[in-house]
Amino acid sequence: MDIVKTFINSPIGPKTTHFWGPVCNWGIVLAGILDSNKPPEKISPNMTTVLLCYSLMFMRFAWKVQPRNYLLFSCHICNTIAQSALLMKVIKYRRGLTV
Amino acid sequence: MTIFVHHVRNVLLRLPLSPRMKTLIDHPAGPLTIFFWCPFVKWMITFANIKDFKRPVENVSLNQQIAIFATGAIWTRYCMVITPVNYSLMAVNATMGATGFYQICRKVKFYQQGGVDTAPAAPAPAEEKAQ
Repeated sequence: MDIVKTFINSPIGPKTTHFWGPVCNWGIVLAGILDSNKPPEKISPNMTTVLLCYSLMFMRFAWKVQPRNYLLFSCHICNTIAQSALLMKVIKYRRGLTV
Repeated sequence: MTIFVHHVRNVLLRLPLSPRMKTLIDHPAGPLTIFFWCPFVKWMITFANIKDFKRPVENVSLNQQIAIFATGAIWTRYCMVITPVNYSLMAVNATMGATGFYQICRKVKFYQQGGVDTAPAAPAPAEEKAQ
């Protein structure tokens, strides 16, 4: 309970913006995971590429920001993986069309 | 990566620039830091979403657009309560949320008009291999 209370009152706890920002970024990761089951023509290559770059840059941001935001960092690692998987799916699909 | 940025900084500081430009280069949120480029990449998300307005509505991912709208909305609100108030970040998140909202409206209208997401395509190459 003390750990929970410490976390709630910490500078990256649920009373601060540093918490809810990463939480809504996890929504993008979840959307990416749910979309991995959809057919590849539904995936937008523009959005996937941009979200991949966004996550790579925000990984660096989360590391460098004061206070260091491990929640945001882990969120963007997962998003990089999810968006890379979607992008590979789209690339394979498009290669299959042109062959 | 950091070493590369360090080299770029040294090269730029050796150039005959005004003191104001040199202050900009060394600024803690200047163009050689990640804090400068984060809003830039969020603008790229906004522009990619605007470009995707032309995509057929069956191919719009409702999950993704809800996530983008939620991110934009929550961050717009929080940019108003942090100190100092960050209008630039608020603008980019508001625009990003607005584009997400537009895509959600497109999709909801599509469903209301009786539209159905197309089923996954049949695995044709696998059938050819089986034959």
